[in-house]
Amino acid sequence: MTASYKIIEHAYDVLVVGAGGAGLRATLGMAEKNLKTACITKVFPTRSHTVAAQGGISAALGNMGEDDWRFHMYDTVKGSDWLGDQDAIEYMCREAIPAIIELEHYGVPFSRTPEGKIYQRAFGGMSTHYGKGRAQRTCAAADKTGHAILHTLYQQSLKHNAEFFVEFIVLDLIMEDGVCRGVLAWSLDDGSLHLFKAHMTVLATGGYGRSYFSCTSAHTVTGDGNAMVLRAGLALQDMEFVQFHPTGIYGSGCLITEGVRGEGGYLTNAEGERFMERYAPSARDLASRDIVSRAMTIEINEGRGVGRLKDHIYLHIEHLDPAIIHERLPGIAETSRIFAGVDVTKEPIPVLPTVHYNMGGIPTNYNTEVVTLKDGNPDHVVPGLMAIGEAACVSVHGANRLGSNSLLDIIVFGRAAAIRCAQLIKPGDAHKPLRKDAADRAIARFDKIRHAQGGRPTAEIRLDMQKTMQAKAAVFRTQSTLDEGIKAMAEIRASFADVSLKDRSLIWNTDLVETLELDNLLSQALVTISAAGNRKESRGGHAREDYPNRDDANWLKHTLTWLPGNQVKIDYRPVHLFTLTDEVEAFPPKERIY
Amino acid sequence: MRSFEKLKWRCRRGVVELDILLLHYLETHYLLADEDEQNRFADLLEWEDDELLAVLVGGKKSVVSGFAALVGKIRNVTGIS
Repeated sequence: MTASYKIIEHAYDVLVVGAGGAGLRATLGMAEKNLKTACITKVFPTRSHTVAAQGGISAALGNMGEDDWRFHMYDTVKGSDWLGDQDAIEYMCREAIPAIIELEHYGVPFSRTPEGKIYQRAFGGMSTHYGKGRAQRTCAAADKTGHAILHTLYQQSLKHNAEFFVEFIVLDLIMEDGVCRGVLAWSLDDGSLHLFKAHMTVLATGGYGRSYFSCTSAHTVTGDGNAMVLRAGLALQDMEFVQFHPTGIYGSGCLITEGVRGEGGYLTNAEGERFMERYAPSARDLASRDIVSRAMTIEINEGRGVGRLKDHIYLHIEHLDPAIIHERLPGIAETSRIFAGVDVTKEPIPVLPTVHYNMGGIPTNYNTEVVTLKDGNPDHVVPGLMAIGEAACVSVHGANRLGSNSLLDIIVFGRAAAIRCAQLIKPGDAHKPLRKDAADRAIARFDKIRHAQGGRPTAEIRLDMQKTMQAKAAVFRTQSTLDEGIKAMAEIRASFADVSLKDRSLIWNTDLVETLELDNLLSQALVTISAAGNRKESRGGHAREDYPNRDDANWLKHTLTWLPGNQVKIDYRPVHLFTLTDEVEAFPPKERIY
Repeated sequence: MRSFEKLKWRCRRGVVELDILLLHYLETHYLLADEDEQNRFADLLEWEDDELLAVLVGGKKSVVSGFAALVGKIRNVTGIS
């Protein structure tokens, strides 16, 4: 079978899969340390989803007043609803400071104070003195922070002679005896297959928002690395924790910023009622994301949704002065016109709680090495494999991520991967030869999907999955809806055996790419909903109607999910309730109140 | 000949707003457009995402001349997903 594919072999010290902020920061760091580094990416680096991170990046620089990395650590632990690993959170919040200074030196054009320091603004959940004051901790490059970071890191990576393989689809990890030896990839431009051998493979492949019907994610966000890890027989961690944004435009998922409600926007149901008054009498429409999302979902589930299918909610700003909309909410009118067909000065915007971030992913330690539970050891390191960014579950976000901590995560742990690789690998270390059949399984999967001749188009199966995940594994979770969803998702995943492709070519075959991505999404959707059905408590992004309280006695632990064949297997890892150094004490669990 | 499928891949961007707008144009207008407009669309796909966002979603005037008609066509949509 391999004879029918031309395979080009490569050898590098390090491979980085993905060229978003995490992948590029790692690539630059590796290349700076003279490791021969290849970065393999589906889309051109500055078109990665990091572009969408416009808000900013947190670090306790203290430029605008008193701040301390310990305060930042406390906020992050509390934000995580105590599911975050405190050694990793300590590492992230301490290293944030040098990591941001480095970014500044690399050339990221941060907004500045009149004295020339990096300007920092306040952000939800960020405090001083352990919740007592309000921190100004978030650095930004105007409203283009993500794009500016991508640009700077890409230029720096090229300067340090990193090599880029752009518009390459990584198909699978090459595993030998429990060690990752590299990856198999497919070049869209000429249809060739490439076997990359490396001492270390770093997965920086992002989240998997596209497994839901309503998500803010770009089309490329399909969690390919997560799925490769499952296929390699390894576990994913805490996949039940999905963060929703309350106001994505119905249908497209395009985000309507929280600033809209800050300026006086409010939500109504089919009866025209401002229902948030019932759920959060004082904060009302300004309550936190999870509370607003849950209230909206309950309204829809109880039959008070708007629209033909009664499946969404209205967001009103038509009572605001058009001048205020124009001045303080630029872009909202245009976004609403284009993606909702709505004139915001006359009619409400149709919105829906929308998937925004995946806290779960590939379990790693704070050195970014992938870990798994093996022979009773919950911290067994998988040699040759690292994961960073939204793909990884370090876990610094635990059950819930704070705004401006995601850009920080990708920069700090992209950097950490390079620091660790420099300790583990000498530039030019010799490679053991791969086994002759090393890539056979990966090629067989690729070939089978390429020639699939079933009865169902890719888009149809994808929509089944997205609708099921939205209806059964979104904000409102009970055992009965989750059990129905688990059964439905297993059937939908099985229906992939009946997928059909129109195009069997190897060059620019977007039909085949989307089908490979669908296969990746299906496995992640199944483990996500299975983990949600298994966790019988509410914590952070996982809110159960039937188990409304956090249950530290039974559930202060990370969920691990494997997918050998069709059956999800579940086990656990302990949460690290200890710190890395004696410069800070661990924060024991307490109730999370804002 | 420029591959339609290749352009489709290049419509994959960093934000979902651009994915939707560019793909919608490609699938509904591109094949009916004259050669000049088709070339211009291929050029537009070389722009950075922040410029595309400002011009296609934000409605800002492009600093590059000659794209106004194409941009107008791409933006002349309501309620797409």
